[in-house]
Amino acid sequence: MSKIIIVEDDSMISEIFQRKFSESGFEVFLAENGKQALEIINKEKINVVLSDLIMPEMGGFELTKTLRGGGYDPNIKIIIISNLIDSLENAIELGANGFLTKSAFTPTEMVNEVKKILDAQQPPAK
Amino acid sequence: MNFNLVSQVGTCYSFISQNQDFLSFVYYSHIPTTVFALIVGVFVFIKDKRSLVSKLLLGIVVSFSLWTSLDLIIWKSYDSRLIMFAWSLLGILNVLFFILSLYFIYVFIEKKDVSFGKKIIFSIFLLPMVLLTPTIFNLKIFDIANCQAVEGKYFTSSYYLIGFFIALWIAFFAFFKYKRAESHQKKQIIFISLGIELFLMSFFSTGLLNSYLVGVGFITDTVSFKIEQYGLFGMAFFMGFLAYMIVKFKAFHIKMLAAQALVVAIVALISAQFFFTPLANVTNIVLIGITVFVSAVLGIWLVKSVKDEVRRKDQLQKMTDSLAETNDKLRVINAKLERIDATKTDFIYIASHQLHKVPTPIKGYLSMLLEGSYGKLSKEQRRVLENIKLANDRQINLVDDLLNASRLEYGKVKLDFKKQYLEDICREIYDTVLPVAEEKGLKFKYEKPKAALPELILDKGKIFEAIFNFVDNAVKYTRKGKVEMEIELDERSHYQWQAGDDEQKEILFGPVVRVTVSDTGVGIAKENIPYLFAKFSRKDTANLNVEGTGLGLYVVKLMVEAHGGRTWAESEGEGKGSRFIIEIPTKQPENVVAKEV
Repeated sequence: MSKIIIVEDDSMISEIFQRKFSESGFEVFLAENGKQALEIINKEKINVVLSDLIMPEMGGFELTKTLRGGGYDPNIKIIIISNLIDSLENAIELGANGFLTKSAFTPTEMVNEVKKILDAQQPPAK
Repeated sequence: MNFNLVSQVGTCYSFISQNQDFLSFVYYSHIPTTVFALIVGVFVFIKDKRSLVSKLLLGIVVSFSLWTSLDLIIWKSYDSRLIMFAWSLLGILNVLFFILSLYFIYVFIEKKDVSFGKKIIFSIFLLPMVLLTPTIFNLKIFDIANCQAVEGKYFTSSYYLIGFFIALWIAFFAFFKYKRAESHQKKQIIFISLGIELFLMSFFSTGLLNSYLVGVGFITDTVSFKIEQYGLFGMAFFMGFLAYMIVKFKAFHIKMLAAQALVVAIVALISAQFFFTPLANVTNIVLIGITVFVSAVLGIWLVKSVKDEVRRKDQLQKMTDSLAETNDKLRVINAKLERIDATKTDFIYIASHQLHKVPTPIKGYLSMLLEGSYGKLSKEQRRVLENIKLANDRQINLVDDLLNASRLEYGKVKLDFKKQYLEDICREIYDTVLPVAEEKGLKFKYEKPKAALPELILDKGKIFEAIFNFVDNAVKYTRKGKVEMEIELDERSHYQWQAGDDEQKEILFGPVVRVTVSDTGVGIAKENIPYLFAKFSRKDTANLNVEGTGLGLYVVKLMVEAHGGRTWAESEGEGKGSRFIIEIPTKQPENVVAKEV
């Protein structure tokens, strides 16, 4: 069972994703920002990080940078979920495996997209 | 003329000694003119030491002043040795200031030094004088009876010849320069050449005239002496012209205040003649009276024109100042506008992001509700929730459009141009929309091109979005009937398109690939057509389609234009269906396609 951490400061989004991803067979962890996420990642063997970009304390970019900066499992998949689609390139450059536009997908679609990215040998997908 | 040729050293009694009256006329012709010339020459030189032209002017007035001083000695002195010495130098000084005058006018008009060749020619003029001055060819002997030297014929002739030649040279030079000069220079050329010619001609012609008239016995020495005196006044005219030019044209880079001082000095000095020159006789009183009058009038006029000039300058300065002030204001306003613009971009961008915050979780919850994640729904509940979801999606689309429009407008979108077939994109859209249309019970027909279409340089995503927008709308706003999509090549298109900004416009003609999406739907009222693709503004919100195509079509327009193409809509009226057309030129302008939009 894949372990996914949802890094999102909007609790409603977290709730929806938690429910949907759990239903889809993921073991879901929640974090409100990058810092909390790193603490959890240090303890648990997380497979997927689904992260928002703009959050207090530590945002998605910094989280990605930290996770790709060494000391963390390089096999962890990082998927950015945001409406700031101009940040796609930056996210990929920093080492994210995917970028999903938050408002474009229903939760079900979102799960499918994440699965697609995980299945794909060569990310990223949009 | 019968001279007693006596080479004797000592005093003699000249013509002057019996004519004190004439002596004051000699003073009058020599002193003010010399002082005037020296003031102007030295003044110009002090003000503009470095320039060649003021050096040359100084050379002219100094050699002229030396000449007048020596001449004065000759008239005044009774010492034959002194007279002979002074007299012997007159010729060389003469030629010197003639040549300097020629040099001067060249530099003044051409604003650069003369060529080396010309300098050689100038020197050649001077050479005979230098060589002959100490010889018998210059002055033969001293005429003790008349207290004057006897000049050598050839020497005098050569001096006259050179003088005549130079005066002619200057006249021709000035004439040709005048013809070619621009209008603002013409006046200066007239003044300077007229001044020099008056100076040289009067100097040289009175001398020549004298010799000739005395030679043929037409006039006596006494008369000739008098005529000779008038020759010097030419210099005063020359200097007067120079003073005028200094004031009027700011010649020699002399500033207004300095020019004023010059005018005052000249008038004061000439007026001072009143007190220095003996007023013993009527001639003198009349002469000095006239001079003072003329110089006063000239002075007043000059000072007045200086004042006018200063006033004009002040006015100009004021105008310049107020213009600068206006410019500053405009700059401030402009900066403000730019700030507003930038703020607007940031605002739209951030607001768009923030605006997603509300509908996104709603969308999530609604989807899950409808998917049954929260339990089974009654038919009525489902209907209502579906309506809510529709409204929410519309909200998301609107925000997306807003974001897209601002991104396109402010150059945040990078277009990913690649060579591809527009036909492929249409095919993909058709495949995507067909099930939706069929579900709605609509006919959806795709008219394939009759001939092969050329490859175009396109951003697939953007063009897909644009055409998809049309097709999606067509399906949405058509209850029954059909939707048709057609793609064709129009080789005879008269389409003109101006690419680039105003500075580098490129007008393109030629074939276009045209995609037409037509439907039998609600149609568009004629008066609304012009507003369809407009970005809404406060002015035309009244005309904004209530059903809310919002910014969608505006975004389509921006995207199509980014490809060098154009888009528009046609409709026969409400209820009569509509056509939406996109045209992409097959010859796309490099500067647009290469540009990041």
